[in-house]
Amino acid sequence: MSEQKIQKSLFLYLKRKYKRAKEEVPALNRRADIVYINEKKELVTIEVKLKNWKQAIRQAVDHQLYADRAYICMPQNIKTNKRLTDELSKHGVGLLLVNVSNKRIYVKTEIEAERTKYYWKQTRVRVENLIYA
Amino acid sequence: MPDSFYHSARFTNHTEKLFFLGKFKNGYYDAVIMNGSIVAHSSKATSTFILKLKKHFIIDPMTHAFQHDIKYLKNDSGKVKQSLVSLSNAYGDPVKSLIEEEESVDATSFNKQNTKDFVEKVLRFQLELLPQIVNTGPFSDYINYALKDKRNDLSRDHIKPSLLIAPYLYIENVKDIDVNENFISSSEELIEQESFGKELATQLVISAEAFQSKDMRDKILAIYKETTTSRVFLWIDGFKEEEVSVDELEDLKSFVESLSTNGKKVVSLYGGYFSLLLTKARHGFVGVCHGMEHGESRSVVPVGGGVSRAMYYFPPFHKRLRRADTARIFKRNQFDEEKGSQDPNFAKKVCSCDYCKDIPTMFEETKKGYSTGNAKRQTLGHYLENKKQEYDYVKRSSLPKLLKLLNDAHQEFKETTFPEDIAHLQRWKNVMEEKKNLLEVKSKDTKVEIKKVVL
Repeated sequence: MSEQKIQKSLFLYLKRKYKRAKEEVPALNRRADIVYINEKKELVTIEVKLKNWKQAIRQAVDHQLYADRAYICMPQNIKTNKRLTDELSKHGVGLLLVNVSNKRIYVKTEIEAERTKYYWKQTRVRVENLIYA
Repeated sequence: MPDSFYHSARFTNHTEKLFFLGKFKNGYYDAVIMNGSIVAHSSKATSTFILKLKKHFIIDPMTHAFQHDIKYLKNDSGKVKQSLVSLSNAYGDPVKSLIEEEESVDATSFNKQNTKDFVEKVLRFQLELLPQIVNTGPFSDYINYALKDKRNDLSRDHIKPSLLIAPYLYIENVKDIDVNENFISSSEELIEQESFGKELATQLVISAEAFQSKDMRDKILAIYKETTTSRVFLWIDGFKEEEVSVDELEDLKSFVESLSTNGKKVVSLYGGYFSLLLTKARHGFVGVCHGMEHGESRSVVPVGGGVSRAMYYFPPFHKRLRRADTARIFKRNQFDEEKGSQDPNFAKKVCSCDYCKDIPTMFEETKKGYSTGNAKRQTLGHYLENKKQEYDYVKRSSLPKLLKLLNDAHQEFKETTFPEDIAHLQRWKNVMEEKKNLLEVKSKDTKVEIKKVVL
């Protein structure tokens, strides 16, 4: 399954669940694949990648500048290894694993993202306005 | 005595006038290098700009432009950019006909018969076009009228370029070097015959692949070291000083050293802080040129154009950072972005310029996530202030001191940034320390004083 299809399936799932969700949100020279507001009113970002977890983590670290929590999302069959989990832990980025089959999506929070400590205020305000618009 | 091209700036379009005139005119750069295409396409506006600028300048004839695949010369409408058409008209054949047929020029386009004529047109274009606009024809009446009013602050004194550049091809293979050698000899003959009264310089524009080959570098050096021109402007396609390896930096350093051992003055056409450090080498660059914010490296294609983004020039790293990386470093170091340079800690460790009093403006974004015009102007002002400080500080400081500062910056920020973002500091330091025969230009170490700039 392609990255785009996973992203779309995940986005539709989050939109149904949380209502306030957007795709391809531009901020700080990047675009977050998915941004949504969870049940705790936290602003959460997700970067979807099939393989390149290093790049995904780097992007997620950028999103931490305005998000409360930042995740990367990969296919369920990915082999998580110590390098990946160490890097995630180092940056406080979470990991979601997904499986899309028979038009159903299964999402598992493999590693919880840490709550970020600081924002870049003006970007946070701008993204919040986009989500709540 | 510093070289007259020590701190040069590249003028590529008229929106940059704001930064060449006004507060940045005096004390920020020594010379201007103008794109030939803008001179050909907007000669009246360019001549007025030169009259106001009152600094010495040269025109890059951009003869390499016509070598590239025609798709790189076209605008969004699918037509060859008008500025390049104007330039090709000024140069005549073989360039003019080939561009009309939407074909590229190459080494085989030039022969004994057409080389002399082409060389003459290229040199006369540089020497005569702007003075002709100013001194003859209907536009000169307007200029004469404007010159009489002292409030306009215009002067004819620098209307001619300070030197001429021989036509050149972009070097990808040996044939290109041979053609360039013919261009240089033909230019030398012509300047002497016609008593142009101007120094001749050469421009070396080399493909990344050619430069990586030691054979090609040796062949280039064998020819260019022996030319009688006293000055060489060097541009290596897409060479990013903060990204290339130690080996590539070593190759650049030894190439410049070899090129300048016969007394040739070598200027980096698109250079950053590493090129500036190379001015401290015994046989290094004598000057470095940069564009407005995004001109410390450049690819030869596309020819002209390119969209600048508002990236923050981070002085301790001597490079531009993406906004996200800048924001992260600010936050992790607990710099208050609302205060910026009014925060003493920020002023000491990062920048004390007046533009940094307003960090939020530098980060302004449109709804689509692009930098606003204000953001671009603010980051560019900050960049130019820091460039001036860098050039001045390097000029008066010893190389060991400058290298120590690279190390200090690495130590200061290594915990709060990604390793790959500062690894270049160590690479630069290692390369500049390595050569045993490296002698620095004598200079006194002076106390670092970060001055607040008054708007």
